[in-house]
Amino acid sequence: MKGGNWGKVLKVDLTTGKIETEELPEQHYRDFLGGSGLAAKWFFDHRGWEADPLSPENPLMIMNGPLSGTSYPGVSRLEICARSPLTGIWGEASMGGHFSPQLKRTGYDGIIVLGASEKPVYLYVTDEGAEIRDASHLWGKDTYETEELLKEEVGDKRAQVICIGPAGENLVKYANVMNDRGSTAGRCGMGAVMGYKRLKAVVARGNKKYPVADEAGFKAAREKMSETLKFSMVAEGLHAFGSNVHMEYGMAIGDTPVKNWREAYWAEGPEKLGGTTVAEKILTRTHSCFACPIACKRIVEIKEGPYRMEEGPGSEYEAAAALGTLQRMDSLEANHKANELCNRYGMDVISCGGVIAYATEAFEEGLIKEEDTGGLRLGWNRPDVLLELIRRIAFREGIGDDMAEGVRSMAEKYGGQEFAIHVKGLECPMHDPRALWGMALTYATSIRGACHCADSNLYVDLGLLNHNELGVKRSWPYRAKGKAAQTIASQKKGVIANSAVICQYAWNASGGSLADMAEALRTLTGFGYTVEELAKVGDRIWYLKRAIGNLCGATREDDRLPRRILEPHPEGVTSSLHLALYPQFMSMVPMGKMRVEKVKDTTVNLMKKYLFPNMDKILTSLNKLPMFSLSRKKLQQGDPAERQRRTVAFDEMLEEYYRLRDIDEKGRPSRRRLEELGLQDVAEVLHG
Amino acid sequence: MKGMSLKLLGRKDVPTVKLFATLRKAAGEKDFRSDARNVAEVLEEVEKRYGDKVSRYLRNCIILVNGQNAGYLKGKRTKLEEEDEVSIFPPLAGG
Repeated sequence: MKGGNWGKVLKVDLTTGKIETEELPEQHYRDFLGGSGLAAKWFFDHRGWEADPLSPENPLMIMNGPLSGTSYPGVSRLEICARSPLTGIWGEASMGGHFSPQLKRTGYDGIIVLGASEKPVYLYVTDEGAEIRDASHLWGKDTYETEELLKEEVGDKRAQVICIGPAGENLVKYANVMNDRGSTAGRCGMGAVMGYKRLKAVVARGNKKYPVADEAGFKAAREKMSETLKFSMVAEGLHAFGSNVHMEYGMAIGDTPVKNWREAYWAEGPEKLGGTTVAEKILTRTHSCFACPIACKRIVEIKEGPYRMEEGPGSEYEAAAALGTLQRMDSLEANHKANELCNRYGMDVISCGGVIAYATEAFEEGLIKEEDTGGLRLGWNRPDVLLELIRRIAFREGIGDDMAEGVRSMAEKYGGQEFAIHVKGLECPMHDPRALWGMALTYATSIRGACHCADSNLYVDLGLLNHNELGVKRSWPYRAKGKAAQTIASQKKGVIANSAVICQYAWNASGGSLADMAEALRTLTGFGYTVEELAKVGDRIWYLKRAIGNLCGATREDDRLPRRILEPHPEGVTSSLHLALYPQFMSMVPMGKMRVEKVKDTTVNLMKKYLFPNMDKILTSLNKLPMFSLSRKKLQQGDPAERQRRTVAFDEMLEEYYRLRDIDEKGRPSRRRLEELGLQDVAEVLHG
Repeated sequence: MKGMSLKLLGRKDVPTVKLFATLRKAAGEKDFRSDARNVAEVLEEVEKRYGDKVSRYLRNCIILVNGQNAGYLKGKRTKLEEEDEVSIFPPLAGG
């Protein structure tokens, strides 16, 4: 290998205790980069889809990419992949922190864990190789304690630890893997896969210098990226207020969900829970992942009160929304406490928040009763209930045992499918497709289920990125036209980010240039990547993962979104249909961008000015306007044409997407497309 | 009210301009009342009030008028009515 990779992975069988090194062909690295791309290739070659997610045969793949752990900005990332116990299909989760550089320096590109141990163990990986060690004394410890104890145990503070908490041990289906206390491989239940294998943690400490094909060239590429980030206003915002800087804007455009996705606007939400409020009230300092100039992590402290917490990682945007606005909870302190509990127990905040919001609505609807909850009265804005539910889920106590299975499973047992917000079993992240239509395709066609990190559509729809270098125009945030092509281009870049491996914040904040990425990878690996070849790599990995999804049983039927997040809001301030008075205007305005009270005022002003100039007194109050009330009432009951106009044109976008992706009626990539990308072996398995 | 012009005194309600994230940090102020008649005037006023320290944030900022992106209305020519709310965000994303 010329650079970036070592050309080998560590293979550990926890059933037999056998540890070996497996060399991988150079062509695999060139064609699939590394990270989740290389993991998918290994998974396919070893027929990973035949293993039950919670079985010894399910391979847990802890992977670096060529960029991981190098000196390039934003490359602290690590990918953890396996068949997901939550969704049953391909699962992957990306994490920042400080583990990937240590793994890189041990001389391995990744660790593939097979089998399952009878007793709790941890894996200690160094330059000298690997060792399976007893972890009985750590079983039951939370992730913060485990990390600390293991660093002490190996006697090296520079050693890095990824570990699970009680949630992973108890096989909570959305248990995560943690590093550096606040960095998480959150989604798809990779922590449960570790828990099943009785693998409490992996500790890495290395000293080897990774190879670089063209030192001077890579240094120049690195400096260019650093320079760009220095002047990036997106990076500046992330540094100043963390990822939660998004909440104010997200709420303003209806992107941030409220009350289990029933509402799209809650003015007080960002004031109570947003990034600027955190900075004003509880922030003590910022923190960064390895070699990251942005430092978006928040360190907070709550000194007193019922939700007191010692100085530690604060909520990022997803936690602030999933454990805040989604519960319509206005306590900043309780939100951070909830985030801390999820971190310590080792649970994905998005899925956890989604499950609790579903359960609250199901309780409200009478589907879940007090006898089911052991007397706990679920409700909106009830911080103590939220914290108690998090605990019960992590330990699978009472209703927590059902909730630990995820929202899809909950809805199958208790009903309320219409408000169980997930795709392919993965709870939706905190971006509402009604505000940014691109997110509808993103969620529906993401390989692992509802995911906002598998592509860069969020940034494109927000107007911060474009795909000009791929010859794809950015489409309007709430128009179907062009969305499919935009999504495919976004997915190429997303796949590359998760395979290269680089933080999407950092890459996107620098402009998300594929040319810059090709330059970095070309100089690092020595493979002669061009933008075109890299785009093809992005496609190749995507189609491979799509095929793995098919082999796990996914079809077109699974590329669906819950109706609730496609249709106009039935309640809250964005539900009123005053803009029906201006249908042409309406077609341009996304659901979330309406502020009904303001529109109402504008409407009244127009009527005063042009239609009823002498009826000023009568028009002082809207409630005295019978025609207005009538119109409002009628529309609230549902005007089919108007509803249609404001409903995300999902089917139209999806059909176009299938056509461009060449997906057949069963949801499989066509044989022709697979063969064009050099995936003959995949075509053979998929199509026979 | 800080910086209120004479023109404002004769008007009952005037637009509110809200500043967010790093722009708010640079300006050192959360919001102000403005007598601007359109978005272009708001931007001029922001620059005048806070000077060079905010200029770079305004170059690629996102402007919402009552929650609607001004870019999809009439851009800088978007007229403002009494009680309108203009929100100015620097380029930002998270999630």
